[in-house]
Amino acid sequence: MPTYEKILLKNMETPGYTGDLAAYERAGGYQAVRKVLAESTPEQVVDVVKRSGLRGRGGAGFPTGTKWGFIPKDPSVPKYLCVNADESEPGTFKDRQLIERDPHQMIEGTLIAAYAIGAKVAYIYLRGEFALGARVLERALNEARAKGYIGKNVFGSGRDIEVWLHRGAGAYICGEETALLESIEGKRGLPRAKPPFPAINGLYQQPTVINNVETLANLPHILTRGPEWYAAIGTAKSPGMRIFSVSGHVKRPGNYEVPLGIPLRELIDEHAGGVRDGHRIKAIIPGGASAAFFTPEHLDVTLDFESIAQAGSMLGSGGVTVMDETTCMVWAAYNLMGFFHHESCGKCTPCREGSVWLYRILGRIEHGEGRPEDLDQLVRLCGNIAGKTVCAFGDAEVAPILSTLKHFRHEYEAHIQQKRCPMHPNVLAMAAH
Amino acid sequence: MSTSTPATTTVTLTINGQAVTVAKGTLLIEAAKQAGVDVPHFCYHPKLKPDANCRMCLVEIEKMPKLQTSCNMPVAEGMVARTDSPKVAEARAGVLEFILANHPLDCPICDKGGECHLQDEAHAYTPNYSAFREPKRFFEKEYFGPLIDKEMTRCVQCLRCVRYCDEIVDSRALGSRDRGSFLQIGGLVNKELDCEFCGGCIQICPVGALTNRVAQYDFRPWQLKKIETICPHCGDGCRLKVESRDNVVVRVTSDAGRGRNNGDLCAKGYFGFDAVNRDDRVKKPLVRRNGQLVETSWFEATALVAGRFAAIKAQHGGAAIGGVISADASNEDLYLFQKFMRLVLGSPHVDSTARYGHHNTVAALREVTGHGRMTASYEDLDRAQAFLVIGADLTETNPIVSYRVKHAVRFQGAKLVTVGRYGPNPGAFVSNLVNRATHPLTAAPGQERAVVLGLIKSLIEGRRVDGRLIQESPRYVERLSGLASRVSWDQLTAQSGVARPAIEAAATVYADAERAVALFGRDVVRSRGAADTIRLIADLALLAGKLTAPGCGLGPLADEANAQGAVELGAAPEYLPGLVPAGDGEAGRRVASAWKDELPSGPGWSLMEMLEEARAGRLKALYLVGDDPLRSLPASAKVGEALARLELLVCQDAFLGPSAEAAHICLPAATMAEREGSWTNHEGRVQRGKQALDPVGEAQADVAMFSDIARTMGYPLDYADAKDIAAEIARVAPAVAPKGASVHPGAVQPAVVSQYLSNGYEQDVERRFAPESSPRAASAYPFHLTLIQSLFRSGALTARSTALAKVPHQAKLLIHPDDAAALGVGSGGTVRMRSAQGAAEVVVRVSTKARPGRVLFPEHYLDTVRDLIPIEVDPATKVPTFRETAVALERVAAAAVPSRNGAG
Repeated sequence: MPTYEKILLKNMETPGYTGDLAAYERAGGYQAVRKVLAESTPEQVVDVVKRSGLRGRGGAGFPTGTKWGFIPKDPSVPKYLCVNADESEPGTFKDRQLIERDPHQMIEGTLIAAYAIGAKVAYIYLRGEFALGARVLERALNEARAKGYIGKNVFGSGRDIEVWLHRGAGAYICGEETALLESIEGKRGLPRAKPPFPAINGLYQQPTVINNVETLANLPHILTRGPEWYAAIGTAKSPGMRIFSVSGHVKRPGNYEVPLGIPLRELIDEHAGGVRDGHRIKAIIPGGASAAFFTPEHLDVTLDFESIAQAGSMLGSGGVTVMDETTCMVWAAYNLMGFFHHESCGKCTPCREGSVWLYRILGRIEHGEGRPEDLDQLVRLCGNIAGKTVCAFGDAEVAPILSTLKHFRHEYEAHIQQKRCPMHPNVLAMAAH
Repeated sequence: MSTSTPATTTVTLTINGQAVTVAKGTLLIEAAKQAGVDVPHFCYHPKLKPDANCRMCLVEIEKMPKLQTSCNMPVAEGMVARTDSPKVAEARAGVLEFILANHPLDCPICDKGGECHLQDEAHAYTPNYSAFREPKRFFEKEYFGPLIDKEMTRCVQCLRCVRYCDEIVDSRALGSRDRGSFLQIGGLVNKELDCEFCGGCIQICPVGALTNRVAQYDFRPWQLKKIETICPHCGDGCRLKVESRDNVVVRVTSDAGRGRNNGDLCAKGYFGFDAVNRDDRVKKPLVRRNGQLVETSWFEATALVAGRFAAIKAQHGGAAIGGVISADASNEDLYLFQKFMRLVLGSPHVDSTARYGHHNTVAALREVTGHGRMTASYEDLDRAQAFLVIGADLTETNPIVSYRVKHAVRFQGAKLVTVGRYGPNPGAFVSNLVNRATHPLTAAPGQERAVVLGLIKSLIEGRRVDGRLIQESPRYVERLSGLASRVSWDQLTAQSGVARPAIEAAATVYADAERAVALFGRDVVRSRGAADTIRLIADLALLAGKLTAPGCGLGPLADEANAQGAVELGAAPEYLPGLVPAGDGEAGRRVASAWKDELPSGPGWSLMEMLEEARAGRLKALYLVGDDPLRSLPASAKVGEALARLELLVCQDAFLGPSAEAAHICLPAATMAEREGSWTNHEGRVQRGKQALDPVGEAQADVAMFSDIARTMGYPLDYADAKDIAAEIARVAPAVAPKGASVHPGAVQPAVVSQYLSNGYEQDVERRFAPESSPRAASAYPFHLTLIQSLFRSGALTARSTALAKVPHQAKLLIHPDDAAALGVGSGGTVRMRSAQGAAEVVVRVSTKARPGRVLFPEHYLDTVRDLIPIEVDPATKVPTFRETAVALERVAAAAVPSRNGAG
């Protein structure tokens, strides 16, 4: 099995590492931000991150330095940094580990980012269900505050950077960056219509950057070891390390930090131990529940933003779910649609009305009540949702349906012809929703 | 003063191949509309911030891979948009298919049927079949209170109602709850609606999700006769659309973009119409025979009234007859009434209900601005950067002005200084301007003047007096500076209870804003020494350079629909039409010559004087038109005694009021919906209303009755219609005639203001700069009671509305939580309130809107409460004040299970 130098998971995989401030500092933590505050201008930090090629780890993969560059420079305008720690994408659990096991790494990244964009206040928006993460982060923030690392005059630099923890209340949509902003403002977490974009009109109508936990965790390392070092890892367009959360029918599910650009096969077979014995891979979701399904034919696709997109799916949140031949694809799509139907916020028509419609059709097919015309109907309805909603949720919810229909249409047809689920005769007991 | 629109750069774009040039920043959907291209939509509304949730307005824009919502897309130079491409048509059909999938299609029994956006768009853009084969989603019916019906299964979740309730009304009683396909509209705290009941959510709902329970199942929209008139309930001057069938008002609405209210209404305007339909209207003339009022014919009634008037005039002279008219009447009614009184009856004693307050405003401002109108227009309110709102609980008194002020404060960043006796009560579903104030100066009751003095003192001490004024009127500035310096800060802050730094900060905000408007309302206008306070507010505006500067001005607020017209058209003993002083011989002769007759000689009596003279036996006959002083004034005014001594009391009204007990003849009058005419709002806009209904029974318009009686008395006052009277008004009183839509009628008259600045200011200047301390609360009566205005009842007509009576939390004594705790009562408990005049039992509502030691009770609910208050008459303006007194409170019943309804 190829081995790679761990960057983000290095500390926590060191035996005896507790994740408290002393341990983090013993491992060299808080040196990067200290140095940045003492020696670099915000513009220089932005430039370093731009040159590193770092791309957002939340899902869309937008270049981080470029995103920061959209923030107006006017010092009289208040600016905010929001840390998207609302990790809710099914099959994704990397941020959770970064938060629970090494919280100061992301706090240091937060301070660097806040400094770079000129924000005096940063909010960490933490997924409501992360009760342990909330305790860990709160403790870590208090440690850092007591040391003068956050709050007034951080590290004696004369700069004020306050970091607050804001716990969500358990809605998937609040991971969407503008819904996240609404939620921090104390409103219902509904995505905003764009334009205006958060960089101009974000939290409290001020310029705002929203960065993912993993994105920020990379920053101390980039600032310490230099953009060239970072850019050399991974591929030219998708540089750096990436934590993939591998789940499903594999022998060793878990988080694996590997360079971007390794083949999907390597991740599943080498790192995650391969599919469980006696079974074979049937389908793979390569980037969280919002990503289109892959089949074994895609195992040689490399895990970088461009290659996966070219193969018809997306790198997304890095959640890789492996399904073997025992999994019914209609059931899988139905299960995922159950999630999306449950989590649709209801703000815009196509998603609100479309999600329940799709869910009902899939339910009928899975339960043996499908009609031949349902399949074209599914495709047509998905087309009326994708690209027509307020946020990317609309594209997300149709991806599992369209991709399973594309790769496994025969399974749908079998359900309709046999008037039952061929694989899960007792499907009622299995239905998650 | 309206400012010219700032020069904007324009943008040229192409929509469906057609070049369109619009102002920069225009939204694409609006640009399309300007080009005559209609983009279908549900959630977009020009009044609201775009939300882009319905996705109905998707259009194709070149160089953008996805379709874009045109409702939140600002136009850009060279943008090429298509609203008619196959892709767009497909998207629209897709959205409609989704909406219709779960829509109940209960159009036959839906009150929206026939005026439903969804019906219209479905008709235009969808195929005539549905591919939906699943069971429909439905919402269980939820009772939403007595006035508004909620049918969530019909909802398209566009959130217009929620956004309107927040952005326009600032009530936030509505919210959305649950999510996904179960997203629904509802109260967030209470399931039953508790709000301002403005009806705006019903009006803005594109479908039948929110409908009017008062009119439920009563109509199909196309059956209704729709006629526009002017709302009779306050001085805001809203345009109403009276919708009737078979001469019964079914509902009242107002179209967005229409009138000074832009289609917005308040509870009284939207729900208060039903009084017109009541069966207990006076439908035939009544005469007293053997002690009973019995029906008679118009022929007989007219002959009787004319005969009795003529006999009293012959025996005692015209000066033994007095007349009082309601200031809700139209300009034509008011004008003809005073002409009738002065010429036909030969009496100088004519007055209106504007005497209850607006006369203070006119008396104080006439020599400063030339009139008593707002010198700032509503559009100036929208653009103001700072507001000074003095003694006005705008939500309750002038809701439409309050919408504009709140909007400017919330969305344009305008600063808001409130000066008054109300505290903040955040979280209340009936909005309260103090909750939005950036500078709330909550003062002791009756001490608004001390705060205004403090503001003047701050301006002078902070060297913020308008530089041009110092140059052009140095004597005025010096004189006022001298007077202000004589008042000590210690005295001002002790009296008002407002700290000096707070006053200074507020003065800075007012002075530093380029566009600042000072509004003042009934707590100033209807209080002791009102004219002095108002004059002082004018001084403040002058010193700050905010009286005549563009975008600035003074805004006197009127409680009555035509208080302005009543004074300007001479329904007052001291003024002839055109605001001409009755004592001015030269001007009087001009009016007389226009009338081709002699004016009655001698000074006229005001309302209070008429009552006094009646008690003394010198006034023999009284003609009451739409007003009933027995209902309006407290017992201490001894109205009953006065009426009992009259030889002739004629009551002309739509309903029998308490004075009818003493009336000799009652004449059935048409209501606002049954007559045509024009009304002058406090802004000075003269707006025409049309007759929406035939008068019920044998009721007649006031003008018709004046003409009938006059003709019978041998002095014809005949006109073809209201326009004919309006034409005469323009001839006789050109000063107050409408100047056309483009001219703000409240412009300050330059000659008047310069006269004021040269020496006019001297009048009573010492007195208005001497702050009067409030009488100390005697230990026997430790609480201070103020009668306040209620949003849900402001007079006889609204008191008769069955719909308005269903609104929760009315007729409650507002009391501060600390006082309530000390008394041991909670919301819903009962207390006995005693004053030197008597006692009354009232139900309590705990609210921080009332400050400690002060209690508030809405006027127009309980006569027993009003009768606790002694009456006092201003010696100069003859305005009676009867809104404040000291009271003692004792608990009768603690009641009150604590509930969240009681909060706020």
